Amino acid sequence: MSFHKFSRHKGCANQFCSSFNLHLLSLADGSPHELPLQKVITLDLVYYRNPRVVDMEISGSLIALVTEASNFTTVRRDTSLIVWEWKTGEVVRDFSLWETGFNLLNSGG
Amino acid sequence: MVEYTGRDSDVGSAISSIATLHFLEGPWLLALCDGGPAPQLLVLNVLLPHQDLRSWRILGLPLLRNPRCYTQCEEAVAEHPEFSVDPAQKIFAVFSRDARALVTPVELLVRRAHHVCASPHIPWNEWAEDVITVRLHPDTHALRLFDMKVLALCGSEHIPEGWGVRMYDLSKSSQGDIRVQQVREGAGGGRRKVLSAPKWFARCQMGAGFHLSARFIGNKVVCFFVSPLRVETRLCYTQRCAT
Repeated sequence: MSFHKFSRHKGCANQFCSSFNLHLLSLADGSPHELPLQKVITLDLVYYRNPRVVDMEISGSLIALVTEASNFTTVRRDTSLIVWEWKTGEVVRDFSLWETGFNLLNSGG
Repeated sequence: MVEYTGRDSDVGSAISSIATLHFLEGPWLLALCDGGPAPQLLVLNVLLPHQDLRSWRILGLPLLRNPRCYTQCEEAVAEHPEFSVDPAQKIFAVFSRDARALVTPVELLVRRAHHVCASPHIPWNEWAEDVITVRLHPDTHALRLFDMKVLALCGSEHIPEGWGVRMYDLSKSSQGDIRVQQVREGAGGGRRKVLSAPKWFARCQMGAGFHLSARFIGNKVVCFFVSPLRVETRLCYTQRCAT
């Protein structure tokens, strides 16, 4: 049995960056879960500030997170969808608006 | 490889309005997007590259008030062996505050996503015929899905005795207490099943008080409410009705 705890930390080196820490803990005693290779998975949202977690889902080896944050250079708040492999801590997909709205449009077809 | 040229911004637009997110099975994500004039469902395979025609679909929905999405729960319910979870029977539901639930097999979504077509957009009228519309009680607050069964938590603070759970059994849609209507929607709507279930499946003993919130936790329904005489929050669990 396990549960995940999501917290924001302010240790991001880039001043235009916000970071989240993801902890996977054992329900038995609250200690770090033994399966993840990293005890704490850190997500850096570069160019975004004041992020808010809209929704989070965990299934199998994947964690999906929807965040809403203010862009440092624009007024609007953007939403990102990021998927991790929680055992390895690797980002599987980052469906941020930068990728889907700008990057993909310029990837041609 | 053929790509959805010029349509990738639609994914960004859908992602920017995600209200809720669910994993369906494996790498498939189901996101309810509620930013436009009508809500949409974004079905996304997180492992396929975005250029792959099967990696995402946007399914249109009808106008719904405050939609929420529910997916099949994997938890086994020991007290109710009839609720054994069959992975092949996974369903999801879009619940609207105007007392409707649109129920669809997950397999159907995945099948549609695998079907390569010219456009990733599937208008509501094109897939409405695969959806079972459940007419819920107007006081429905939350849903729980089990093996082809929809449990609806109903109640009102005006009727303290009127709290409980109604069950809509999709697999027995032609029997007894569930009325099946074949209705013809407006232009292009196709024929759809509409289910209603008048009987209680389980009841709560609430007593007098004002309802705060209620939710399913495991196989129990937990209701939080405040007594009118003193501030008091209590938990109530449902008891299954005698059959």
